[in-house]
Amino acid sequence: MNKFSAKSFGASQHAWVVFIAVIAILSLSLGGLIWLTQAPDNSLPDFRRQFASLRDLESQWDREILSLQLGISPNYDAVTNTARDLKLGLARLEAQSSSDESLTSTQPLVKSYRESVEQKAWLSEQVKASYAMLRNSVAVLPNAISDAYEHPEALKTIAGGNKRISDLLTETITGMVSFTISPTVLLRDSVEERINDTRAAAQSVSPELSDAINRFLVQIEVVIKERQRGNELMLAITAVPIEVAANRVQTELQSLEETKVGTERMLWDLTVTLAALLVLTFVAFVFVLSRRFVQLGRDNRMLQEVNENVEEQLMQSAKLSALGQMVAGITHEINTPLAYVKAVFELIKERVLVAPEKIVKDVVNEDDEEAAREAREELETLLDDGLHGIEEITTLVRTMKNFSRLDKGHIESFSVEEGLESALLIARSELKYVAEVKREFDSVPQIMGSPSQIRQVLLNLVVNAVDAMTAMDRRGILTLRTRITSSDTVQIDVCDNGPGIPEDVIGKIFDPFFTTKPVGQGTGMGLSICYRIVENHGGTITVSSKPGKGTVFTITLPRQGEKFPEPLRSPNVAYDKSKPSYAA
Amino acid sequence: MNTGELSSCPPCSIGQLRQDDDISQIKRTSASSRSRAALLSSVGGILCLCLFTLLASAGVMISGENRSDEPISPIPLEVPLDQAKVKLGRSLFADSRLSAGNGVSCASCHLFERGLTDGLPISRGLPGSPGGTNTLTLFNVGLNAKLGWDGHFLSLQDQAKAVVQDKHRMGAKWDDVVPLLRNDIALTATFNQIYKDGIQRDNVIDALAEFEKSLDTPNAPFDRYLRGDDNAISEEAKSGYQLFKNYGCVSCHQGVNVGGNMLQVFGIFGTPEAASQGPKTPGAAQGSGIDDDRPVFRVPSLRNVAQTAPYFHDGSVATLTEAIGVMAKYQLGRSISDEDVAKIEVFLKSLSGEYQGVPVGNL
Repeated sequence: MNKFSAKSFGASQHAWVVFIAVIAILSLSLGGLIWLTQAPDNSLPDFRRQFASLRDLESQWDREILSLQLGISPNYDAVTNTARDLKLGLARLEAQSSSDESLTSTQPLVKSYRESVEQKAWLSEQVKASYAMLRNSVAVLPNAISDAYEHPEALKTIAGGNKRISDLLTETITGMVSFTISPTVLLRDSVEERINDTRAAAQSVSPELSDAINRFLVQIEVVIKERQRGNELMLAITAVPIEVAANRVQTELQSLEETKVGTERMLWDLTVTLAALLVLTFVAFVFVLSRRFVQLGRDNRMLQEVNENVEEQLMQSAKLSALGQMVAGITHEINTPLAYVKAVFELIKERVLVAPEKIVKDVVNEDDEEAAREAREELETLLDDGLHGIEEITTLVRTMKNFSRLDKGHIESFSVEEGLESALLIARSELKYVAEVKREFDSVPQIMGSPSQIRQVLLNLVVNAVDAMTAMDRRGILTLRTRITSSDTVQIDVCDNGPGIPEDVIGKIFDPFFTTKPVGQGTGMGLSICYRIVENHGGTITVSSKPGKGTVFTITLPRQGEKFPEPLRSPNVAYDKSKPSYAA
Repeated sequence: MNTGELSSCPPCSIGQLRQDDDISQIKRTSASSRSRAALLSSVGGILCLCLFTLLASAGVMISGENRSDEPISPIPLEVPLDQAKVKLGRSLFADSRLSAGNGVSCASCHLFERGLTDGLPISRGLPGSPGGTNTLTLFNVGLNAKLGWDGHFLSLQDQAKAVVQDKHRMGAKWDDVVPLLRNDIALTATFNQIYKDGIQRDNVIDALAEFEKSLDTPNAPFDRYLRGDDNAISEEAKSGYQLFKNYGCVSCHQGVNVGGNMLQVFGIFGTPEAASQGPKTPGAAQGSGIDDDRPVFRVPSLRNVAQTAPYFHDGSVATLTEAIGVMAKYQLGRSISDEDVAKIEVFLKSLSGEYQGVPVGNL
């Protein structure tokens, strides 16, 4: 597991970019595909619809042609209009199939379908003409016959035969009827024979009758011819391969449709696949990210810990370095009482060794008693002074010990004023040549916190003030102020009337490693550490300065210590768990 | 087969035979006439049979109401058209910019006072390219399923497209006409109001076609008769119509436009003078397959025929009477008595309708 996470962590710097690139590519292609599938291509469905309606028109036309052939249509309007609409529609369809790229494969098939329709129409035109002629001639026959029968000659036997004209006429008509009912070659030949016989016979009669007979025969011939023709035309119409041509178009349209559906399906599958890939990539991305975040979190925490350790060490080292700087002053401080004690001891030694009888001598007279008393008092005073001096040294040592202790932020109740006094004590050597000390203490109550840390802060501020006023040629005033504010915080002011902090610098003074002192003299950590300490205590530290006038550092510290629970509460009061505990 | 059918059935019906003058004549003669009559009856019966086999024609209900099964149907009274286009088409109809050299417009040969023809036997054509056929009337042209003497064009649009470029008629080129029209600001504005893409060849043709469709002449007296008004035409006209049907004229001159929907040989029985040039007669349909030896024409419409003299493709016949005679002789192979011709003529005159309420004869 470690290996994987290390690998992913190491690789994830690149993986970021790769992942984002992959996601971007997938999204773009997905978008492109969706756009493609959305783009409606209506030309094929439109074409199919048009073709279907033309097929309907064609079947209507068939019905009308049939009515025509059966003689049951009142006129030719229907069949002619339908044929025209069909022809015009097919011309449009053909034009569309050649102009539309996706439909070009249908163009030759539509053309052949159209040609077969034209063929059928051409034949049906002939049917119309032929039928009209046939109908008219048949209609005329009775009159033609009666015209012929008007003449008495019609009933006379023909010369050179045993038939009458009327018989021949009858035979001809019967022959014609037979042929019209069943147009076979045999019957046709038979009726033509009759016609020839009648025509021949007509030559031998009077011109009037002959004329009438000939007119009659002409009509019969038209009937025969058109009946034959009508038959042939009907057969020819059924032979036109219109159905085949139409089916070919239909098949082609079908396959185009299938291709289209296939393409659409493929696109759809591709879209779904890409979408799935996108989702997977996303999930992997999220997974990797979360691991990274976990890793980052861990690293963060580790860094924070290290940071805190470092902070502590830094504070400690700053303290010690600050302390180191104080060594000269402190040794001087210690030297003074030390010399004093040494002097006292030497005096005592002198008194005791040189004239011991003065102290322990028997008392003889009043003068001796007086002298002895004086000697004893003098010794007492000397010893007291010596002890006092030792006490001073002790205090200094204790203070320094307190100050230098590496404490882990041991929380206790302490007084800031005491802290200020300790700071003054430690800095006394430098302070006494540089400035007057003004104390404006308000007897503020004790606060909860880490005493050593706060003392460190106060010492730092005092030393800074002293450093600032050292440069001046007059004696400065160091004012130390404490008061309690309305919101139950303790406010400490450390004011000096040094040269002040210029505007361009004042914003940076709390920055780590920032110092205006030359190299070797200051670490630049002092104020930043102070800042951290005060923050940790839940307080604030601010600075106010006027160049030429002086500087005021103001610290506020909460009395109760928001960060710390008060340990000395009475057992009756509930322990307040809501306050956050001070984290080391 | 009911009585109605029988009565419309030309001379085959037995009942009618009895009424026939000729037959009664025959009856008056001797015994031989009786056998003749018997012969005649049997012949008539056989003919009936053959006719029935062949024709089985639709029953013609002669009622006082709507005569919807007649071979001729009345012109529709209302035709839904885009009036803006009709108006534009009317102005283009008289616009000579559609011809070469600004010479003629459609209205030059299709005059309203002459039944939308020019009254000449053969159309003038253009200088150097004389016309070849008689100008056809544009009245009811929208009802023709076939257009022109040869029935070549199927739609008004196709015909208009071709006629502008025909050197015997307008002699122009669309590529010249359209820019010329575009120079006209007012015309462009009118076009832009009606057509999205302004003045285009197809839009000009569309406007012209719309106007042509508005040239119907409904409400002819015969149409009113067909719609059930028995008093719309005289008795002479009614019997003329019967003759028209019985003689067989109606086999070709049928439909809503009394013709205009089929092709037919001109000169079925014999060759009329007008068909003397045979199958290549100017105006004849080519490649129709109907006849190789004789000219084939589209059957013209007989509506408003009284106003569209002279007649036939070469305008060779000046009067209706003569025309009817030629038709009977050469198309039906019959000679018709003058009486019958007169009746048919009265019938034909009843086919003249009204253009926008005004009888065509009064335009």
